[in-house]
Amino acid sequence: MSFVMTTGLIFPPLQGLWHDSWMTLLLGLAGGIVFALPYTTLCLRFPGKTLIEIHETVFGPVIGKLFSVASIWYTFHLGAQAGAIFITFLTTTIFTMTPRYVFSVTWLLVVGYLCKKGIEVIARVNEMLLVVTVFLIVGTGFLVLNIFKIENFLPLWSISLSDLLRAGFGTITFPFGQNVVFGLLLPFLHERGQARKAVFMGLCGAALFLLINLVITVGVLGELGKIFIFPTHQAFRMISIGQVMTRLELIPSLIFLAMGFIKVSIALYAASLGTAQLCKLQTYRPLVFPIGVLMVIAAHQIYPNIGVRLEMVERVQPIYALPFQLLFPLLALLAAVLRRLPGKEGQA
Amino acid sequence: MFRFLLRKLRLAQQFKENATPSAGYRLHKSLEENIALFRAELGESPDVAIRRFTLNLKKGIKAAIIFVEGLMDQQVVYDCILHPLMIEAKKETWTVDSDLLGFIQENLITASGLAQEDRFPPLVDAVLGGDTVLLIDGQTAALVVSTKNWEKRAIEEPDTEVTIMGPRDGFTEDLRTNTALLRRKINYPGLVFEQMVIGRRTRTTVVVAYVQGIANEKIVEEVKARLKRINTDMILDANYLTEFITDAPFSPFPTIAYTERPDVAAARLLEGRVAVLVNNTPTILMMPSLFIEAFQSPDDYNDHFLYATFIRWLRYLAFLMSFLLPALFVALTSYHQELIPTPLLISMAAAVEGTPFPVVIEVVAMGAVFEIIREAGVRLARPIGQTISIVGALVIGEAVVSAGLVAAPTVIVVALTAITSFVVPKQQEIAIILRLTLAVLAGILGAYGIIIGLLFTLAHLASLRSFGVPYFSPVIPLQVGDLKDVAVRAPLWAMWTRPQALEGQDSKRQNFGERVPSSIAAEEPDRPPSAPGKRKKEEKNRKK
Repeated sequence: MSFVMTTGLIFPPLQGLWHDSWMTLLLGLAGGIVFALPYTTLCLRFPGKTLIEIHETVFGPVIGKLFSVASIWYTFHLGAQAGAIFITFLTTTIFTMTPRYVFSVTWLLVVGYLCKKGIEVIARVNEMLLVVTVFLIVGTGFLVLNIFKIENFLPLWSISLSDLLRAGFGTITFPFGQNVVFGLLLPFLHERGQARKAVFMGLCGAALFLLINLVITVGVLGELGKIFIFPTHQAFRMISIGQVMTRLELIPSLIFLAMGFIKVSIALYAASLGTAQLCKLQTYRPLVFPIGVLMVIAAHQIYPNIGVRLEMVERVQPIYALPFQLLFPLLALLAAVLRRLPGKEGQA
Repeated sequence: MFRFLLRKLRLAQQFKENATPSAGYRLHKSLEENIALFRAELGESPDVAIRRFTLNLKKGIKAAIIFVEGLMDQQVVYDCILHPLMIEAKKETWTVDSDLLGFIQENLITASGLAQEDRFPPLVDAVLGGDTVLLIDGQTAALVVSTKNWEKRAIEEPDTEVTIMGPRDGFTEDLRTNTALLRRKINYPGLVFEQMVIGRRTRTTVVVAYVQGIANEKIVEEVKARLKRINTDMILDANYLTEFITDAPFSPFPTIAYTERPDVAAARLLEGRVAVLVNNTPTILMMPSLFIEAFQSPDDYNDHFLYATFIRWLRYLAFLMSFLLPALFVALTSYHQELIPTPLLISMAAAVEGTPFPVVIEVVAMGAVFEIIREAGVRLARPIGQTISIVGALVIGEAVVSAGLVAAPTVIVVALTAITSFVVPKQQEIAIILRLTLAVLAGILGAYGIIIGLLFTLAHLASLRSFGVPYFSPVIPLQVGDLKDVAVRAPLWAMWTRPQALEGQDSKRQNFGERVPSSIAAEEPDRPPSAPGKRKKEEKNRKK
């Protein structure tokens, strides 16, 4: 189960500062761990309850519902965003002539199928894909050795501290802080006590592989990398071993895409499950496809083109995501502590 | 959605259900009336024989035996029933007490299988099953003498699972032979056979076999419960059962395995699985079944483990190729030409030059043609089958290319796929379905289509269970211990646990890595060979 965490994160391409971005990444990891504290604590305090149920016990039925709606909206938005990224990626790099609705509909079918099968299946599929991805990342590390230049990392510390902090903050909210989604899913872990450990391990693992990926990309592309929207894709494009292994960018891209499916599935699952719990439904299954359709529409509406998305990630995202990722869980935790809530009721 | 429809249909069906309880009515006292009963039940079929005779015990009592010709052993009937009752009984001076049947049972009939029965329906079953029923005038019970014997096929090597080494025996259509074959492989009292009858009209005998102390009791109970719930009127083949009790009735993946080899069945039983033997079928069912089983051939265990591991990897590769190759070919040639090394691309482009159809159509059409040729060859008499394969493979393949209808690379790919699909015969059907679907998807959406198809399949595989065991284990969910017979074929002494996925009892086969060490001391080349007496001393020292 802990692997679920890693996946969602692995693909999102890192923007911002270029050859010092490894520092940003580490900063992001640290921040991500801090961000993960409130909701994991909450989940440990209320074992077996999701964020939605916790909201209701902590804030009471009315305000709690408001908070829950906000959380669900965030999850929903996250899914739409991730879906939009991958669809944009496809339409700008590989399938430039294909209408994007083709992708979103097929996407929705697979993701909906995954969600209907439940979290266990998502986790298992993810496990398989994760092994492949790790293998690929390490493998490509070897393939690019002939064009890898360590000089690309020089000069170190060429950016000001304020820039670094700003970029680091951006990395915290995207992708690391998005883990808050798991607040909706943590109760389904097999070993509940392990929740915090699982999240942290997931974060660290994700950071490790993002780092390897980043080192490869920067080392291969150098300063040139700045101008690409999807630098990883470009880095793999440079692979050239003999006459046989050339321009392999498609393969890693598609594997990462598969991970993208997982990310969207988790978001869709969490959103459907959250809605079902909010409305006290018996099962989330009938909600999967309606919410999925809404998600696709939202993806098309919110991000009509790549420019808007970049703008969003750079400027809006850090501020927009902050309340959902840090503030709400923190508030809930605070309220719980003040009202001494988990007490006897929580045990039962 | 299928499930939904199924549920509705089942509901509708339940209204029509009307069970017909057959009360077990008893025999009459009069012989003639009993014979009339049998005649009424069995009709005037010529193969049902009723032989009347006089029992020369006391003052001559009328009696009759009833049997079905062709299902019983004439010799046994004569030696064990007719001869003793008509001739032996005359010689001696018996003192018969009131219990005539018991007396006959104990003193006269020499057959090994014998039982008393006073209800009518079991008697009819016994007659139809090949036993002989002895009716005696004035008795309200009858004797059932076991005289089953019919024409059987000899034990042969099964055509479906041929091996190079190892035992050559295969199951036959006869249930008793099959259980005997299993008993011979596993000479252990824990091997349990439990018998039941399924099918209202065919009354097929079905045997559930498992090894007590190894198999998971829950799974055994589940298998039995599912079998008991089958309510149909005919079971003609093992697959009839499979379709009724399988976990995922709409899935193309088989969650119940089959085998025709006793050695495979024995190995599976000792891993903790349950076997179901169906009368009149040489294939027996094994459950729970994992996806990975299809890749394990009995030859793996008869060969050196390194070679077996290598062959197993080849099998994985061949299976991947058998469903991915056409799709990849379509995606590469029609969407992602940049991935093909340039010299290859040039020669491929030259070959494609002048062919009228897009690659997808070529691949799907040629794939379909191949399946047709295969199907035509399978069910024909062998000599004609060979003609068909020659016409199909050589004439069509060659002519189609030289006529410029299909590009040569397509034919190569389809031919290669065809060969690889025979490497793993047990998953061949899936490979065909996946291959065509993925090829079409690749034609529409390129590599993205392939990913969609694969993810869908993966999700489906991950959600499948076979009697509670995840179908794709030990890969997902990962069980590292079980990989020793999946990722590699570990040496037998290193396979010290049974598959954990099956959750059987007594998971330990032997102590970890316990081999038989050599008891002959290795000759050390540096020293001259020592005298025999000296060596003995050395050995003694070592033992200390």
